[in-house]
Order: sequence, then structure tokens, then C-alpha cells
Amino acid sequence: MPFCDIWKIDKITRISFKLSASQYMERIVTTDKEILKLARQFDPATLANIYDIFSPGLYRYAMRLTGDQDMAEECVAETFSRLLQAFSARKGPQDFLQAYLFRIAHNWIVDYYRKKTFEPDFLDEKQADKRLSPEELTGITLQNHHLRKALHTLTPDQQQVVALKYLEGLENMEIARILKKPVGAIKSLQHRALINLKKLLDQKDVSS
Amino acid sequence: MRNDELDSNMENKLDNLKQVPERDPQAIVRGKANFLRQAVSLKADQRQSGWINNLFPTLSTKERLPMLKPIMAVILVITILFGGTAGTVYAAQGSLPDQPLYQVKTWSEDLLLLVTRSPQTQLEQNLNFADRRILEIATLHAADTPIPQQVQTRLQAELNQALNLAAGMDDQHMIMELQRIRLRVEAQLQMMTKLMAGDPDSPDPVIAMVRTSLQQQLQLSAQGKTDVQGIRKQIQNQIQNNDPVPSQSPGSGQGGPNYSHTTTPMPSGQQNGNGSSSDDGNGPNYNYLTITPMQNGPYYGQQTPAPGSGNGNKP
Repeated sequence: MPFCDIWKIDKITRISFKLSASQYMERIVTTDKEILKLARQFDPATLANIYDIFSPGLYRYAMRLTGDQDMAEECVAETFSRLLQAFSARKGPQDFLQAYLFRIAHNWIVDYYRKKTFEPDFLDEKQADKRLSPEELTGITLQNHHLRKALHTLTPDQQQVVALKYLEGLENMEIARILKKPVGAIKSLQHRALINLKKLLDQKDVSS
Repeated sequence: MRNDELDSNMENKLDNLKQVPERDPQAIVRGKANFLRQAVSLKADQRQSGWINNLFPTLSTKERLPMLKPIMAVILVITILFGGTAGTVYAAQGSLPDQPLYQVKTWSEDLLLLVTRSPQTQLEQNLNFADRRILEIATLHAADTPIPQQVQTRLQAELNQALNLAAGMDDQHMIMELQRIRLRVEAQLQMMTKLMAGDPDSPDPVIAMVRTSLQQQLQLSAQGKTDVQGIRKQIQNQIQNNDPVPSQSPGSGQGGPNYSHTTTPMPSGQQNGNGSSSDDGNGPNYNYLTITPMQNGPYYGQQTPAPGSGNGNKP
């Protein structure tokens, strides 16, 4: 894969770490095959570096989809655990670690909600924006809850496209790499996802 | 609505989801520590199962486990079979003719001769086996145990084969090997003489036969120094004349062993003393015999007429 493509696809890392282009490019080199080669040998420094680079992005992703800090932490922990198990079984990513991690994290969330019914997220004092009034805060919390609930009624691929595109800000090409689908298929998924999502939210607005 | 565009209402709703609270620093430290701890544990596991991974680099653990069971079973069976067989053969090497494992001992000797290609090595092995027979005779005699005819038969066959192999070599090597045979047979003869001297009134008939046979072999090997060209035919004739008749030895059960003589083409330059081939000159240049292993052992089986020998039907 050309270096510029990696640079684009790994934008999440760059944004999350607020790295300069040169710093980011320096870091992205280590996400290539060389770092994966070391990671497969369970090199502690390499693995610590991987955790530092990717866990914040994964946490945000899980947090946005679940709205639950504990669950987001659990998702991050499970994602990295599965990565290690894949290395142990001589499997796992070959050249694009971030895409692999997002896939695992998303599958974990989908599996979690497949087994459990979606519970409303309660207002967390720690999460509360002090500038908002209690009424505004309650309104946003409820709105987020409805949106998440609507998201979880979409198909897993549609959920992932919406989350990666509109919550994480990835380009279609980047999402295509993560979902292992062509860009055209991503656009189609995105289109259907938005229609379904709008329909679901409109129904909710009418009923409420 | 375009594929990649949201209406403002939806955009606002999604923007609200983007707000993520700060991650708990303690949770980060804890998560990282757990991750690295798991890595250390898995690394240790991987080191332990490294040889399995090398065998099945593309298979996962779940796929390997069912495969490993039959493989381990096969390895176990092979180990038991071969280990048991090797152990039995090893244990049989010290057995005597009156013991059950003796048959295994002779089989292992036959097998060793069968897989040996070099004539020099074959000759050496035959002499070593002949020494073993002498030792067996001495041990049985010391224990006052009857000596089976089979031992004498094998001894004679082994010495015949040694002479035959020497006769198949070029002149220089043949002289050297005959000298070697002579020295060994002399030592064997001395031992038989000692055994007979210990019981001069009623010597064991098998020991007497062995002694006579050894004397003949010694005479034959000693002649090699003086008459190199003519010795080959003499060895051939001697070997055929010494073919053991079916014995009446108890326990042989098959009327005693027979030698199987087959011919081996001789190098064209190695002919008998009169410059012609060893037979009547009509056949190819076969002028010596090779005693080849047969189904009942190296020296036991049906006789095969030897081209050029002219007396292949001799028992």
C-alpha cells in the first residue's frame, strides 16, 4: 500500500494525538509491517506503543456507540486481548493494524447488543457539561439515547459506516479498507443507513 | 438527500454523540498493564508450543488439537513397535543357541549382511559372526549343554562366504583378505583344540566337526599366498564340497539348513589359472560363487544352479 494511503487512513491517530504531519508520518512507519513483525514476537515496547497509539481512538469509538464508559473500556480491553490472541495463533493483521482494531471493536459492540437489549444511558455526573442546564442535559442525553438505539437497529455494516463516517470523520476510502468492501459498496451502505436512520428517528419524534 | 450529506437535524444529533468525556487516566494505566501482562503470558505459551507451531504454521490452536491426537498416537505406536523391536534385537545379541532369542540374533545377523554392500565389510562381518559361533560353542560346552548342529552349519557357511568374498577380489586384495581369514581361523582352531583337549576321551562330535572344518578352511586360506590364480577355483570347489547336508540336529525341525549358491558375474580380468573362465568356457565369465541371502536366511534356502559351476544341483 502506498505510504500516502496509510497516512490518509491513519488520520484518526493523527487527529487524536494532534501530531504534526512529520511526527505522524514518523509514527505511521511503525504501524507498517515492521511494527507488526515486532508485535508478533510480543515485544513489550512495541505492544506498549501500539496501545498508546490506538487505545484512545478505540475508546472514543466505543464510547460514541455505547455511551457507557465502562463498556467502552471493556471494548478496548477486549479488542487488544483479541489482537494478542491473533498474534499468538499466528494470525492477525498483516499491514494495517488500525483497520483490524476497528473491525474487532465494532464486532464486539455488535455482538454485545445482539445478546443484550439496549438499555438507556443514565446521566453521568462526570460526563455532564457544567455549562448546560439540567433540562438541556436531560434533553441531550435522551436524544443521544434515541440516536444510539436507532443506530443499533441498523445492520452491522450500516452502523459501522455511519459511525466511521459521521462520528469518526473517516473518508469513504478509509472505511472501505476497514470494512474490506469497495468504495461503491460503502456509498451504497451509507445511503441506505441514512435513510433508515432518518426513518427511525422520525418515527420516534412522532411517537414522543 | 445525497449519499454523503446529512440534513442539519441529523447532523446536530450526530454531533452530540461526538462529545466524549475524558478517559479516566487510571483506566488507561490499568488497561495497558493488563494488555502487557497478557502479552507476557501468551509469549510464554508460544515459546512452549513453538515446535507445534513450526509443524503446523498455518493452523490455529483449535485446528491443531484434533490433528495432534492421531499424530501423537501414531508416533507412540511407532515408538513402541520400533523401540520394542530394537530392544529385543539388542537383548538377543547375547543369547545362545538353546535360547528363544537366538533366532532373533541370527535374523539380525542375516539382515545386517543383507544390507551391507561393501565386500570388505561383508567379509569382516562374516568373520565376526564366525567368532560369535566359536564363542557360543565354547559357552555351551562349558555349561555341558549339547551344541546344536545349526551352530556348526552357520559357522561353516560364514567362513565359506568370507573365502568366497576374498576370491571375488583382485589378486592383491585377495591375498590380504586370505591372510586375514587365516589368522582368524587359526585363533578359532586353537580354541576348538583347547576344548577338545579338555575332554580327550569323548570329544563332542560337533566340536570335532567344527575343528575339521576349520582345518580345511585354514588350509585353503593358507594356499592363497602361493597360488593366487588357482586358489579361486579351489575355493569354489571347496565351498561346494563343504555344502552341509541336511542335518539331523534336534530342534532344527526342517531337516537342517541348505546353502543357496548363486553366481555373481566376475570381472573379466579375474579368471582362473588357466586363463579361461572357470566353467567349460561356453558361458559368461562367471568363475566364483556368491552365497546370497535367501528367504530363510543368508545361507539357507533352495539351491540355485550356478552358471559355470556345472554342479548346481549338488545338495
